[in-house]
Amino acid sequence: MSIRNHSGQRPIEVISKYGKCIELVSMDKYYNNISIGLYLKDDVFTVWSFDSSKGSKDRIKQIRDQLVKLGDMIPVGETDNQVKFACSNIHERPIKFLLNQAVGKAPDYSPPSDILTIKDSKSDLHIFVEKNNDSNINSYRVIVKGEARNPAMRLRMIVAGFIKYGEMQKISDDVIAFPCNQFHDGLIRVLLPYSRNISSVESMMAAEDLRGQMTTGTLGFSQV
Amino acid sequence: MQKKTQMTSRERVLNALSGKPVDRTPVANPTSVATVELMDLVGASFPEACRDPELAARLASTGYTELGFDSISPYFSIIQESSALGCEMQWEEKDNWPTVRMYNPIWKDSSDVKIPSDFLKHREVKAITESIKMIREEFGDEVAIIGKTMGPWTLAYHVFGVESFLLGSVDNPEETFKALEKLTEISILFGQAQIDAGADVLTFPDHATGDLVSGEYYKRFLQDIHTDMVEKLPVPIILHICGRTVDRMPYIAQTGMASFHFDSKNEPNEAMGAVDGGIGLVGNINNPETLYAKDPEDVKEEVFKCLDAGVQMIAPECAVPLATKAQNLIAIPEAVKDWTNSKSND
Amino acid sequence: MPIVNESLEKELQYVSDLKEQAHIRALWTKADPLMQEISVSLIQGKNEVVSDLTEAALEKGFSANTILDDGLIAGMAIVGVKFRDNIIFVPEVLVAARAMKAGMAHIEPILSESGIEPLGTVIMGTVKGDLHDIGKNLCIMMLRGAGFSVIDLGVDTSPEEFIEAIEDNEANVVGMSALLTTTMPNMGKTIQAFEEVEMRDIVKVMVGGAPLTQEFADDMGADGYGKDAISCVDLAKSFYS
Repeated sequence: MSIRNHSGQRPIEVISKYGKCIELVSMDKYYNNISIGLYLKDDVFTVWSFDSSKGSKDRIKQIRDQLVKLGDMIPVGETDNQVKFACSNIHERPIKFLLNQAVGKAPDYSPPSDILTIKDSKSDLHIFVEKNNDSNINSYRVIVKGEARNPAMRLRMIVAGFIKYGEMQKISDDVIAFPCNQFHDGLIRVLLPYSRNISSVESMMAAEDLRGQMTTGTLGFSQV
Repeated sequence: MQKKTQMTSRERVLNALSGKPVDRTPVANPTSVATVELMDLVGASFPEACRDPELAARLASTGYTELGFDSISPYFSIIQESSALGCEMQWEEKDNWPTVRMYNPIWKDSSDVKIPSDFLKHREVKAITESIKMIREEFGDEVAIIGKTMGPWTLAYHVFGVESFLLGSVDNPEETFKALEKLTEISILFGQAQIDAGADVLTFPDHATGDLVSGEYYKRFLQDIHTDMVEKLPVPIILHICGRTVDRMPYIAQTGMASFHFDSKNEPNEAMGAVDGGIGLVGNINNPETLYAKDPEDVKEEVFKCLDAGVQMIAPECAVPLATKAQNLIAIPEAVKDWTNSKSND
Repeated sequence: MPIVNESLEKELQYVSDLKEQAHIRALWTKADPLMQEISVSLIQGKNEVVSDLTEAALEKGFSANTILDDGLIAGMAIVGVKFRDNIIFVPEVLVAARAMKAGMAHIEPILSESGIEPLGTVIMGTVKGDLHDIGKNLCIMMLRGAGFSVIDLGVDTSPEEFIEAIEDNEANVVGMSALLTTTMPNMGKTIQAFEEVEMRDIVKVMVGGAPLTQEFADDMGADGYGKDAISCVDLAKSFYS
């Protein structure tokens, strides 16, 4: 085969068909380190890889199914690679975290429980998130239980984490809601670990972003 | 000056580098536009694509066939010659750059500098020269092939270690000059081999960057060497130095090189002012903030800014981050076409 | 005592922030002219002169601590400011650091021979994947000068190597350095490794390096963050007090 030919679908065709790539996971450790992209057109998300090896389609379907399971999304028609939110909204920031989980966790991973809870990473508190419907707004109440030097401050920071990473709205000091006014338990579960600690998430993301960048630092030339 | 007749990509690049009329500003990749998506598309992943000529040729070709750039560059990283000289390598995985382990340098001073007799036969050298041959055979005169040969300052970092080399430049400048002179022979040897293989242009990265050394250092140690390179290598040369370089651009403009590939830390207008017509400019789309992190619309905005400033060739500021999305790279030549059309409608 | 050394006065003009300038001036006006001469020679990277002057100062009866604080560290303060403000670049910083080392070569043996028990043992290393060591080496010089026994694990240090060094040397303080944001998370991994072998509660961890912040250090679970070599020494002293 000449060096210019390949059997895969061209990027320009993929973009035309599936829209904009909103998130790219550069290496899928569960399938030959292929890259996995999430494309968005209107309200439909498409899981895509330019790898055209025999098993890649199966792996794409696996990831799509994990988006459904972990994120409470719905498959689109008879496709093996497309999903959407029931509310038809985009939820662009949280779905990036969801994709990373769908690719990064084992293919058969399931959340351990239906209860939306996690141990706080910065104190001995436990964080609980419960559905709430005051004033007819489908929202979530964040509750912290246990010991901490300043539980009110921790609650405030955790709520801020949900707002930032979930693109959520603050209804009150401990109540948050998605802009679509719908429940998205899956997204809340995905966001729980990140919402605990914005600064370390930001550091982690900055470190991940630097991977594959060519700078004086990454080349090893920096000295001080 | 714009020329109406449709040119080939190769003509466009060569004309721009020699200051001749073009139909539109070319889009080039003097360093690398390899990404993980393109690696998957053609089955040519790092690090193997840095070591195998066919994989390198396949991956590099996507810059032209899939992204719409006017050039193909099969030398993605900055380590090929250093590996061939015997430096200890860290090859990394698909989504990261191979680097030289400089804390274990292979040489102490200029007396150690020797080009191995089989240098041109080394796997990492042949990966480039053979891939250039394949690309030339496949594409003929359609597209510009841009090779790359590392400059002596960068080679010195790799072979002597950064700290040792920079200390030496203060302690014993004469020895530093000697080392640079000998290392330049490697740059010339590898550069000529790529020209013989079919390269139309050479990128010449030499990391006397602003965060390490001053502009005066560039003038003192490298300006003459770079001027000599122009005499020694019979193709247009694009000098590449990362980082803030406005303070050394006036010196670079005197070297006679065809173009200077500049970093986003320098504003296009500011850079054009600093070179004052003495050298063409290539660049300078921001990598980490724009190409990697933002959207095609943001890329377009930056391209327009460069074109408005009069940059001769549009390019990412350096090797693109490996996780850059293809849509943002495709946006670059599309933006150039949009800008050109908007001007012809004016 | 005023700043008698004209060259040193000139160096002070490079400090454009007036508050900072006043602070450094106040340090130097207390220093003996010989100390001022050591400072300016260090700034100028004259490692042999620094070595000779340090030796001479010791013979004249100046204490090792006085030479360290008033001569060497005072000089490095100006080097740091000039580098930060792009007046000098990496080659000049490297020669100044080498001059510092030349002075320290005379001071360190005196402190360790003094018969005084070391204040404690500090394990120092640059984390896994990171090959930068200038900052770490400066801290080590300062720590030794301040009376600590330091085990230098070098660069690219794995969590296991830190653990082994703590066990072998019965150290209670670990200093970790990182210069790349990509390697910073390895500090957290190292601390986690200490937890896994139930060593965390007997070891104090301090972190430092150009991209680090106090907030990052807190997030990683470190006990302290040193923004420069002097802070590193202060932290080590506080851990052992």
